[in-house]
Amino acid sequence: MNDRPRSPLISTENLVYEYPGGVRALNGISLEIYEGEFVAIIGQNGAGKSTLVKHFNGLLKPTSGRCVIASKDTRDCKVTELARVVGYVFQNPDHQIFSETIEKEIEFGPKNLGLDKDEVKRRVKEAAEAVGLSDKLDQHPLTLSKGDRQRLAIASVMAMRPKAIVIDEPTTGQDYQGGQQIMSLVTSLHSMGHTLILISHNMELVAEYAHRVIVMCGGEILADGSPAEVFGKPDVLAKTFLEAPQITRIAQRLQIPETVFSSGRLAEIVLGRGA
Amino acid sequence: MQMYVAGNSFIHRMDPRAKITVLATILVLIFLVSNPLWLLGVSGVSVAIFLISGLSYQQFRPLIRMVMVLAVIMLILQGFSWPGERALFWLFGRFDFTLEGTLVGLSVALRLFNLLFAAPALMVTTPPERLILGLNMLKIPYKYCFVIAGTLTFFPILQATSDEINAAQKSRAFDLLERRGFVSKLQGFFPQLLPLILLSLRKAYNLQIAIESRALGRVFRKGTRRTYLVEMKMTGMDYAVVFLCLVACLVTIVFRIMGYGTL
Repeated sequence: MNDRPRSPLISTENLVYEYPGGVRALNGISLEIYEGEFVAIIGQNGAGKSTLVKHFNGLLKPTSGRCVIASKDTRDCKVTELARVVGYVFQNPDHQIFSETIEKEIEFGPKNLGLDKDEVKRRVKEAAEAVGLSDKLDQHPLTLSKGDRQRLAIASVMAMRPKAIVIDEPTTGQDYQGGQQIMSLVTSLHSMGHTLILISHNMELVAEYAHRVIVMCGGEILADGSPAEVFGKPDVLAKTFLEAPQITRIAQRLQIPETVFSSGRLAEIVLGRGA
Repeated sequence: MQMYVAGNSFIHRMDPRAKITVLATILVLIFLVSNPLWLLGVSGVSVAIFLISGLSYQQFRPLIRMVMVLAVIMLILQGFSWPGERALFWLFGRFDFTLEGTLVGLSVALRLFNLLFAAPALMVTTPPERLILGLNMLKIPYKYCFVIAGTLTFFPILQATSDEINAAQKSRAFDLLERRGFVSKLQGFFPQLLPLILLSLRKAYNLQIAIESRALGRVFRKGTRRTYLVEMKMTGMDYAVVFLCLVACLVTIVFRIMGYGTL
């Protein structure tokens, strides 16, 4: 697929972004994201998470430094071109839904790419199946629940088959079960071969699903590594007022050297010790 | 469009009540007189206010351009349609462009021009909440003040929502600006406008629930006096401005009754 497997899909070099008016939202971000990764970006409100990912499809252009997507500098590209490479699912699905049926909403993106009718149909079917909306294709999107509208937004982006998908806060306002369902959908997107970049506040879900965690604070990257590495450093997290998942903290209190993310694993360790 | 531009000019420091008086006076003046020469005089005051306020011309350029276009359209429409006697030129031998029409058109254009400079200079220099407080202190019923406040705060929200929608649709490879052809452009407004309308309706509905659940309009019954968190005091300068405004109004009314200032 890729002739140079080791060149990153997304890379930034010393990326600085200032909002008009002079507020510096990103202060020299350098990172590389390779094809097939499952990255979660966490941090407080105002840490610069959304500002950073908005560079990944060219919605924002760096004030200084570089942002390179699939070997192209985003400064030379239009958002509508980059949309083929990096899909972006916005936090509030109601910012994009405008069609009178779910089918039409999903086909909007692929049609904009100029695909032929059969291909559009195929992709709509595939995307609707992936998010579990295939039996509701002719319903009005606004009859759906918030969670289902979120799924619809994801479907409408994945139907464009971008290499990477950015998802901004998919689990806000969802209960535990809703969050789990969205995350298992996200995981299945990843196993279909999409590179995933997820912004989230939900540490439990991040720890459970993501393969790499980037912690942001004040427009800078504070930590970058596997969930075990990042959540194993409570002092770094504390700087951004984040906390590792409860189960991880319990294990840390119990002075278990391993970074634990599930109650099952903790039970194993504890029982193993007791036995 | 910004609702408030910070600064420390004379206009910025004026009491909102004095500013409202100035704006009301300018409104009265430009609608009392219709002679373009007199209106030009009032324009001088409006432009002076704009200059004193220290607002950048650059920022208002799109708005100014829009009003210029409107003014030219007015001039052409009035010139051709006003029932005047003295024709300046003809189109196709039958449509007169009259002197009277030109003058009427000019005065309409000058009125627009006045509002264009005076209104933003006076309003944008006041934080919206102080403006509302000013209105409220002028004994305007709270409900009306709230409507104005609601409208003022709605604009930036609309702008932000609109930007977000635009970004979301761009991310699906759709850009209105890249569309070619009239029909295609027209169709292109739906992805942008429909979510905006839906979200705005929902927001307005939620706002209604929020203010009703906080018993809007129930607290200030007859006889109860409202106290203010921020007390605003009119300074001597403010009173001087208000006095000047009243004099200007009076003088204009007298002249108008005597028959001056008309076409």
